[in-house]
Amino acid sequence: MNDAPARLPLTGIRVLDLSSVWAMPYAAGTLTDLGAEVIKIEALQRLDSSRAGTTNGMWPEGDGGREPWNVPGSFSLINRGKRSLLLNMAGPEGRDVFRELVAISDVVIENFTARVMRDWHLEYEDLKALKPDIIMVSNTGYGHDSPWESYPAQGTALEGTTGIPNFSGYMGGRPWTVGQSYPDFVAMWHGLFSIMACLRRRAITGEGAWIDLGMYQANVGFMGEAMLDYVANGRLGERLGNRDHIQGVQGCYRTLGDDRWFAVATQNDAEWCALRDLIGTAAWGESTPPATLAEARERHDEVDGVIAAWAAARTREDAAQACRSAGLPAGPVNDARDLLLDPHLRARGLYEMVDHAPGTGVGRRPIIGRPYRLSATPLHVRHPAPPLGEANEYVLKELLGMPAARFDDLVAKEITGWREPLAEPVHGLPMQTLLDAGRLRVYDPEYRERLGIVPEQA
Amino acid sequence: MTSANVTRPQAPPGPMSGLRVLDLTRRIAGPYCTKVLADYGADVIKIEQPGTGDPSRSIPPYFHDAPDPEGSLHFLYLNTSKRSVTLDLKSERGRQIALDLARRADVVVENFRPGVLGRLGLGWETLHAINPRLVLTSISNFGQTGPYRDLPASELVEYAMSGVMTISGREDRSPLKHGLSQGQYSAGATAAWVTAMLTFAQAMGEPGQWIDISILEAIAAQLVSNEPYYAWMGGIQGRRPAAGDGTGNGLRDIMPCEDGYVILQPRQGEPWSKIVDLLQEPALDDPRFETAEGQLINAEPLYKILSKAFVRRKKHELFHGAAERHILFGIAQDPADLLDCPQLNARGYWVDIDHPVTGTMRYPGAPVRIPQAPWDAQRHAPLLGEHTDEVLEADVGLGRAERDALRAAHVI
Repeated sequence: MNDAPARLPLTGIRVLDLSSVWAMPYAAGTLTDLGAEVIKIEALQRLDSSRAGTTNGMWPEGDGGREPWNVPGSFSLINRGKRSLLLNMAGPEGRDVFRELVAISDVVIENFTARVMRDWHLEYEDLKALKPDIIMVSNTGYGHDSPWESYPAQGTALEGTTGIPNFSGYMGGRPWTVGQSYPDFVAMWHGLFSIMACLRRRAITGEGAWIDLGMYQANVGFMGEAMLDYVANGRLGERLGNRDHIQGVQGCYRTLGDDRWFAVATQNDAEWCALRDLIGTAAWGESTPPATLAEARERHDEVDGVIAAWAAARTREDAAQACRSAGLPAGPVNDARDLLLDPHLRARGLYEMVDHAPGTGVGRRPIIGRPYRLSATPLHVRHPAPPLGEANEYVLKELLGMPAARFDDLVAKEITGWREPLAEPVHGLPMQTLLDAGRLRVYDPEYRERLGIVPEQA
Repeated sequence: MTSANVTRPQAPPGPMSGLRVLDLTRRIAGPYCTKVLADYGADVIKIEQPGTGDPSRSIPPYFHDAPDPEGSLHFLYLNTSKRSVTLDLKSERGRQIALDLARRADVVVENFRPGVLGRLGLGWETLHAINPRLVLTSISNFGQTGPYRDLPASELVEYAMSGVMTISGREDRSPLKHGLSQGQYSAGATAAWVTAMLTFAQAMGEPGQWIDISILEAIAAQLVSNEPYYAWMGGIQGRRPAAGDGTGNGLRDIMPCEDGYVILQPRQGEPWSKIVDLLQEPALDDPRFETAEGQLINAEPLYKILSKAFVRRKKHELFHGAAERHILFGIAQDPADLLDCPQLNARGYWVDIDHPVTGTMRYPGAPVRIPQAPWDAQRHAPLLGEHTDEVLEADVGLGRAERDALRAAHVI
């Protein structure tokens, strides 16, 4: 982690980030890696809910310490590199300050329901009057100017509505959501694309734009071939567990070890035969092993039984290695610890060590960096996530040139300023409760040694 | 409902208009990246192998289930707005033509296995030398570096290795992947935004760079809760515990209702009374369920009550009722629901695109609405080699006689 000396692709771009939770905050955090100055705006009266991790208690060692709002893990990962401004926009004076900030910014990102910015007279046309080439992202669940524009949405519940779970889940079973809040990331990528495309357009034409990002429709586009299958063939689609929906034979099988699994896939006759030969004919008992991929697909249940029996006698590493040696796509089912210790991801630097703000007790921890590399511009997380309100004076006095008297007046009215934002102390759930309730599967007391991290003594 | 053919004349150009893209991608991840660029205005020239074309032309599903390289529904969806040129990159003449096209391009996108582009004589050093402005985007399973670089992979294997499967599904059953090809789309969308970022730098006069996108990392980078659980407190998440006959407490999980499936997502600090009011179920009005901790500890009784409450209710009634109460709520929809959805239709989401083989079909439309610079499927996915003559004549200056000779030699 350092301040890269080279010019970064977004050096000189200033972003006002009014967004909360995951999708747009992660997009804006991503912009900081690329050199943008991102000012995260919250209010004492309205924190980003991901700061106040009262139920997941994702604090260092499960202890929020003196500043629980500054230390949650997800918050720190998502909001890396930003500056933090406290500005209460519920009243006109706070909104006036925001308007002044718009005039010196390039991009505004917000994820309020549609009525909020409308009620505040801070829609695109209003911002454009202040800064003609402003680029504004309005991220909602369903998009503006539409029947559901003010329906609240977050990734988990929204995933159902997108239709993707219609194709996700065990065979013959109900639809499932998969992963963690997947629609947020789909929205994030398309939001980032739109920002970059509009920055390019601005560089050429001098014009700004409004990006009306409804998460719902961005996600529907990730099932295009299945939508056309319905339009053309009337097929509604089905849930196939881990089977291939195109033409392969594949699965995820339990191996030796505590809840350890591996996956293998065959996508053509040659691969199928390689897997069949690896497992050997004895495993098939009385029956003849399938000769082709198509036959194996017809006998998929039987194939699964044979592979499962083969896998059950091996470690996941041995099973994956044997398949890879035969030229097959195969790999272990990794958990969080496996990933953080994975030699390939370490060599590529997917996880990046970040020294967090002194006094918070977070210390040095790895966070997710970036799933891409640039050949000429090495990228790094430039700063840890900001402690609440750390940039009040920088933004208001230095960037806006606000006189001390006006600043002090805003502090007195709690429009900016700082106090402890939570009226009552918050408690995380004890580790044993998280384990008993299945929120966590394993507690690894040696994780710090494994990761090579020494937390700061709070 | 808008039609691509009808809206095009009066719509302003998309934000990527004027960008010239040489598209060497195949299958899903790469083509999704270049589809986004093309539908937002870029001129994308897709290079396909003479005779067979993009391998996605040869995978189901097909239009009317009839195997036809022009009827592959993957291909038709993922290649809108592009032009197709057949060119054998393994031939020296083919390579020279590709270099001519790269000289005129702003962006090259490819998703061969690492090393293949270099072996074709089209690697980064070569492209950068002939066109220093050029951005090269490479999408691969594990990235261009690292010990797994050359391992074979597939959608399932990438999902397994990414960490997503270990937290998906039921504890008493196998880990579960996402449906369809979400990993490929994830990487394609990641590649699209990183590429667009460097086209902004390019517009600002910066030299081109080589972008290395890893599909595995595009999936793993989504685990913004799972990763810090371990890095902050040593916790490893698993799949959903099987409580009673269910999976957890019935919240944040898709549950059956009277006419389909629904999902209810309480927020932190949200009064439980709002949810009791939505579901109109007296048994839920119980102090045990009022806190997040109580919901976790009393998973089994909560699940039983919620399952009974949901199956008495209809999905749309609950969905709109939840919105009125500002409660996060979803319904599990299928393609028929989506095509009928009043919200998507009010947004003008679906577009009708005509095609010589399939006729007019209804396609998913703009992922994002940008009124000043809108999405527009400029044309249907190209027939194999549909634009070979026009591109080679206009962009490479090859006359008819030379093209005929190249065609006879199976170079184009």
